[in-house]
Amino acid sequence: MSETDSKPIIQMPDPAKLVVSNSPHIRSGENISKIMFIVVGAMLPACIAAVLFFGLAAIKVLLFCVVSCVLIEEGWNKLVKRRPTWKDGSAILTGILLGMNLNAGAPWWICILGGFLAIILGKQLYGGLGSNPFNPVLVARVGLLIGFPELMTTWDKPALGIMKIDVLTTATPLGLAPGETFVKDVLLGNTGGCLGETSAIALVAGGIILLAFKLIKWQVPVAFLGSVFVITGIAHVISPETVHSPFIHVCTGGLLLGAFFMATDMVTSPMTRKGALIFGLGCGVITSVIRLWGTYPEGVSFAILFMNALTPLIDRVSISKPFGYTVLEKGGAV
Amino acid sequence: MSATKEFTKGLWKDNSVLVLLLGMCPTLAVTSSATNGLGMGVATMCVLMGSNIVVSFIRSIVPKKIRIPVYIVIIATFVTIVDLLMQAYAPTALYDALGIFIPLIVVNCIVLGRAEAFASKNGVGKSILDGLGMGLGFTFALVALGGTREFLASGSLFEVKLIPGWTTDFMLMTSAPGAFIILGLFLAGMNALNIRKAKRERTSYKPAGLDCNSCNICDMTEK
Amino acid sequence: MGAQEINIPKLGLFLGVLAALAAGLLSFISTSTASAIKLNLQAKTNRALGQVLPEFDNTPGEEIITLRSDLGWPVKFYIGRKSGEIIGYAGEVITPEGFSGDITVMVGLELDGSVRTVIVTANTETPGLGTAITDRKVQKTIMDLIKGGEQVAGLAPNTYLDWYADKKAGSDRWNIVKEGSAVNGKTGATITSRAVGGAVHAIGKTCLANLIQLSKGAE
Repeated sequence: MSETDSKPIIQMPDPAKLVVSNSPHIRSGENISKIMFIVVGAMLPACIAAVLFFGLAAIKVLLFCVVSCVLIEEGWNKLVKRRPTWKDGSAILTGILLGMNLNAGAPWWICILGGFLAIILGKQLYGGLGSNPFNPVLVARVGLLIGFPELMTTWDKPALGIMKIDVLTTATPLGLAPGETFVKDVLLGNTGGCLGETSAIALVAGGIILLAFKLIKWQVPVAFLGSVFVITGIAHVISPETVHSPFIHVCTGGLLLGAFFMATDMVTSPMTRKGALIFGLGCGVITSVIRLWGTYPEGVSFAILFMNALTPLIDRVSISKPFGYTVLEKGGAV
Repeated sequence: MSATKEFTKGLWKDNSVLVLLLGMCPTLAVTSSATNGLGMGVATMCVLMGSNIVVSFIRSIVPKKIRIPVYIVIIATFVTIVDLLMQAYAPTALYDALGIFIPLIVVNCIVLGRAEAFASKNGVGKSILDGLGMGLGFTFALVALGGTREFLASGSLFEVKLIPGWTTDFMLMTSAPGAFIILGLFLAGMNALNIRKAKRERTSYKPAGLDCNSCNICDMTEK
Repeated sequence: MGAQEINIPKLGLFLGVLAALAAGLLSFISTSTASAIKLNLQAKTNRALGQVLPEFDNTPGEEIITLRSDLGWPVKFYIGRKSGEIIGYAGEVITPEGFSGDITVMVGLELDGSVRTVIVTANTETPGLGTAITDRKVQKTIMDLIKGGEQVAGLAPNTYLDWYADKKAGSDRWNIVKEGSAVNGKTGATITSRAVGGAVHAIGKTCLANLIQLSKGAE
């Protein structure tokens, strides 16, 4: 994916002297770890909510995921003779996000397999951090969802404040028939789901932190959530007995987690503001289509992965003309 | 080229799936288990040998202008024969699993490719060897893919459980994405082997399916 | 074009002769395999029916009564006979209530209308989730192979489908039981469980309501 393709829309000043790859343009390791640190901080409210609702089991899953992700990353670095990369914090963040995508009752081997899918299949096989076309955590989640649909869609019943290790199971609210889910539970997080997707309030708080630090573009979550709300809203008006209310659709099933933390991943989402808007809209439409007509009850992960694949194209059509560049093709720059 | 070389080139060096990347449709679609891979591979091999023999036999009387339609008629005939025979005598479960992919052997690039590139220019004996080698190579690749997927999915091979405690199937491997992932890893492994070999022999190597201008992972290729 | 002249009648004749030869060969193969293929197809229907009916010696695929359930679904009843006597019915219904499309359910029924065996013959449910309810799958282990011994005949067990055995359909549908030792439903596949339960109920109820008509057979 080099910009020195046969026919670029926008000509760089002197392509031979510059090596420009896709986003992000990493300049130093310090920047990565700082960003990763803030993102981990933004995950904290949701982590706390998860521990409150799911107890020690949640901590166990999170720990397992982080440790296995870091170990697998370092093992791979040893294998291909690269420098250790655990200090940049990306493997730790991948581990936390992976844990947030798992069930509180997930067995240990799911955490390890998930770490393997995320780090090796999602990231390192493409050349490491920054070269991966797909969000590694979602690669792992989708891999596990298709691989073990039963384990990945039976969620633990939350019990507020009780620090317990064993848990009861329930289906995700989207898998239940409409009318079985209650708005208040969904909002607080008192509902079935993976660790990071249950508490809507905590997720929104984390999203606001990310927005405040300007780490994510507001266009992605707004377009994503907005399009899901509108499409499921129309479907709900047409047939209220088979479709959940749009409010439930927005607050459940990892949509908030996906919209704030997954779709906005810097490596795999478009660079431009206009591109981010297209990206968010595409995610929303695909999510709604899968939820309403698909075989799987949940479509957020599939939608984001799909749009990840389109990101280079979106970047290409929404590219803006930087200072000093010359436009070669009419309509190329916006 | 000697007769043995005609036979062995299809097995590894010019393997239709792993090197030439031909016949991807049956490769990806039916390799959910070793048995299915074997069934598809053997069916394709029968068609390939039949068409190679006939094409080579009539190669001197086929007018150049209509050789492709002639090959297609010959291949389609053999595919229909194999289809009917399998419907009648193969196990029902195997025929159900392979289903529409048997008729689709007609458009498998390997069969037409060997007819055009080899059988129409070589004698019957050599063509038989070529068809047999290519067919075996195809079967080998399909069984390897199907076996890997089946084993990673459920710990079994040819529907026999090898690891008794494995109760939950890893369904990713039996579904379509698993086919792509495993095939991709196979091709990567093939390329890694060939790059290593080229390095040892100090020759250049161009990996299959890669555009070397857009990739600088290895330093082996001529830029 | 090239130096070669295009002689359309000659090329046409060549293709025609080749096609005729191919057609001749195919018609020979087709006629010689026709009987085996027909037997195979018949065996396939019989195998499905044989899984739900007691041993029969007629061809139930040819003796069919189609009735309507109280929801208006067409229910197909195959009549199983042994030496002329009716020994059981196999009801088949396509329910639209599946999680992602139609599910075809076949139920073997005793003469008094109670359920004998339930199988699902076609479905498009989520692999691993809905299909846990619908599929009966045999798994050989390496130990079986080493020990040898004959394959155990009959149907692979499926807890969820076997739950319906020996039950009679009441006026309302069965509740979906998800916990305990006997279950007919499963968390994560609630909708599939409900659809299958509904289909079994529809077949059972239709059978009970039409026992007299069924006992006369199709003729």
